[in-house]
Amino acid sequence: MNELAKRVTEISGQNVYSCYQCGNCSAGCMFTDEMDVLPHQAITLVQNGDESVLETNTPWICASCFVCSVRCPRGLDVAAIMEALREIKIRERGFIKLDLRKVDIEKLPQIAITAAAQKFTW
Amino acid sequence: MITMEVLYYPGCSLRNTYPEFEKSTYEACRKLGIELVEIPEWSCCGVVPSLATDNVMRHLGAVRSFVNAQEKGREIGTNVIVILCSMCYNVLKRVNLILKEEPDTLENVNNFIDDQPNYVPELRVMHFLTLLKEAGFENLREKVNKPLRGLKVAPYYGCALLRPDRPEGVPIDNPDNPVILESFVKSIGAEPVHFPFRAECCGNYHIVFEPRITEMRTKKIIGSAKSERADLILSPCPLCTYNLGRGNESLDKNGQVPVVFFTQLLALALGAKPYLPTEIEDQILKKIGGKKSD
Amino acid sequence: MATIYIMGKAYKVPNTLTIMKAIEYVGYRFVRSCGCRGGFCGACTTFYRVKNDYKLHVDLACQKRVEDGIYIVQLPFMPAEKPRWDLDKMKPATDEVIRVFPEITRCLSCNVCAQACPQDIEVMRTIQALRRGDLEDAVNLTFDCISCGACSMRCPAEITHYQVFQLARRLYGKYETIPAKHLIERVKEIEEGKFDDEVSKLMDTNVEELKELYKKREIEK
Repeated sequence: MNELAKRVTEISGQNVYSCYQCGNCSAGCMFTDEMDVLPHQAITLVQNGDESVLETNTPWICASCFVCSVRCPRGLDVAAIMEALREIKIRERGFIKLDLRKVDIEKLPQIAITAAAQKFTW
Repeated sequence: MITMEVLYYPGCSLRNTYPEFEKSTYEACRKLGIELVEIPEWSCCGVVPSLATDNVMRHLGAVRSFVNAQEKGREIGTNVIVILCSMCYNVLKRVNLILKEEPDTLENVNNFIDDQPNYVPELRVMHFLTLLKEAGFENLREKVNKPLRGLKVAPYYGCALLRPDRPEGVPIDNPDNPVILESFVKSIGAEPVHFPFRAECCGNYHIVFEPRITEMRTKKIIGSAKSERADLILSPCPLCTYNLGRGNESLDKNGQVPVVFFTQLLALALGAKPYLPTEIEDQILKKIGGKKSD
Repeated sequence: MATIYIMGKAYKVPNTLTIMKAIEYVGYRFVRSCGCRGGFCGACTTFYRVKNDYKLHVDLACQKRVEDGIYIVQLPFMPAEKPRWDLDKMKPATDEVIRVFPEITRCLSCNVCAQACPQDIEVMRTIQALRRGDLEDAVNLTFDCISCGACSMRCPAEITHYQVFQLARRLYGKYETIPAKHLIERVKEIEEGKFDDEVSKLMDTNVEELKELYKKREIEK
C-alpha cells in the first residue's frame, strides 16, 4: 500500500482499495458542480498514491451530507475518506484553511460557526 | 397530567438563535403530557461528528453531556434523552453508538474525563419525532383540536435525520424513502406535499465561507417545494432553517416559501402557542379558517 | 530541604518556601513574573511537574510551596491579541461575546483550562455557559479571574479565556447590574466643582505639611 493510501486508511478507518469505481457516490453527490475531481476519482487518486488529490478542492467542497456513504455498494464511508483528506492537510503545521476572525459572522447562528470551525480547523 | 418525563438536550442555536423552536415544543409538550427535563450543564455537541478514527477529543462535548444526563436520569428514573435539533441528534446518536461499540474508545474517554463520573453507555438518544412516532401518530391525531386542514406543507428532512445509515440506528426512518415527517403532517390534519429535493443537503457549513454554494442548494430546494404548490416548508434543523432563510432572501417574493419548525405547527394544531411570526400565523389561519391562538 | 529545578538546574532550598521565595533564596532577582506577591495580580504564573509524575500543573509562584523534585518554568507574559469592541453598540447577550471571539465555538469541552486555573475557576463551564446563552452564570463564575493566562496557554482551541470573560463582565456590568447611586451622585458633585477648592489647597501644600496632615487624618473605626 502506498503512503497516501495507508494514511487515508488509518485516519478514516476505511479500506480505500475496496472501491471499484462504480461512481454511485459521485452520482448522488450534490456538490459535484463545484469540485475539481469527483469523489470516486479522488479515491482512485488515493489508490494510486497520487498526492495531487490533496491540492484539489474536492474535500473542501464536501459538505458531509453522507449521501455517498449511504449509496456505496461496498459499504465504504466515503464521507470519512473525504474527512481523512481534509485532516491530512489540517494537521500540517501552519496550515490555515479558515480564519474565524475574518469571517463576517454578523447574524450567523452558532451552529454554523461551530460546524465550519470543526471541519476547517483542526 | 404528566405521563412521561424525559431528559432533554437543547443545543446552542435552538436556545439562542431560534428560541421559537424550543418554546413551541415546551407548549406542545404541556398539551401532550411530556415533561422535558433539561440536562444540567450540557456542553456543545460539536455539530459535525469527527469522522477520523483517531480523534477522540471531538467526542468530549457529547460525553460530558451524557455523564450529566446519566446522573440526572438516575435521579428522575429515565435513560431517554430527547433532542430537537437534527444536527445535535446526529452527533449525540453517533457518539453514543461509537462508545457502545468500541470499548477501547470508551475507556480512553472515561480515563480522560477524570473530573467526572464514568459514562456507562446505557442512555438512549432519541429524536423528538421518534418519541411522537412511538407514542403513536393516531394518538397524536386524537389530541389535535385545531387540525390544519387545507394547509399544504412540504416536509424537508435535510441530511442529519437520515444519514449515515451505518452504524445502524442513526436514521429516524428509511433513508431512501422516509415517511415519518409525512405521517406527522397528516396527523396534525395538514396535507404533506412530496417534493424531490426533500432530503437534499442545504449546504451545511458552507454558509460561513462559501455562501454561494448554500444559495445554489437552497434555491433548488425552495424552488422544488414551490413548484409543488407548498404553502410552507417544514424544517427540523436550525442550520437548514437559517440556510433556507438566506435562500429565500435571494429569491423574489413570489418564489419564496416560508420555513417553519415542525413543533410550531404541532403547537398550533394542539391549540397551544406556536410562537410563529404574525404574518405566517395569519397566512396559515386564513388557509385553515381559524382563530388566532391563545 | 527540598531539591527544586529552575529551568532544569537543581538547587536545594528549605521546603517551607513558596516557589517565588525559593527562586530569590537561590540568588535570582525578579525583573518579570513578580507582582503583588499576594495571589491577585496574575504575574507569577508557573508551570511545573514533580519528579516521577507526568502530570503538568499550574499555580502562582507567590502562593505555592515548593515540593521535593519540582521542575518549574514561568509564564511572565501571555501573547493575546485583543480585538476591539464598542460596549455602546452591543447588547448584553452571549451572542455578542461570540461575535467578538468566534473561536469560542471551537471549545471541545476538554477541561484542561479548569485544571490549569490557579483560582479554581470552572473555566470550561463558563465557556459552555456562554455557548448556552447564560451571561449571568458566566459572569458570576469568573469573578475571581486574575488574567494570569494559564488556561489560554493550555487551550487546544486557542481561546483567550480571560479576554472573553472580561468582555462578558463588562457587558453585564454596563447593562444588567444596578448602577451604584452614590457613585453617580459623587461623580456629579465632582463635575460640579464641589471639591475643587480642597484639591487645589492640597496641591499647594508642601510635602512636610502633607505628611503632618496625613498623620493627623480621621481614621474610621
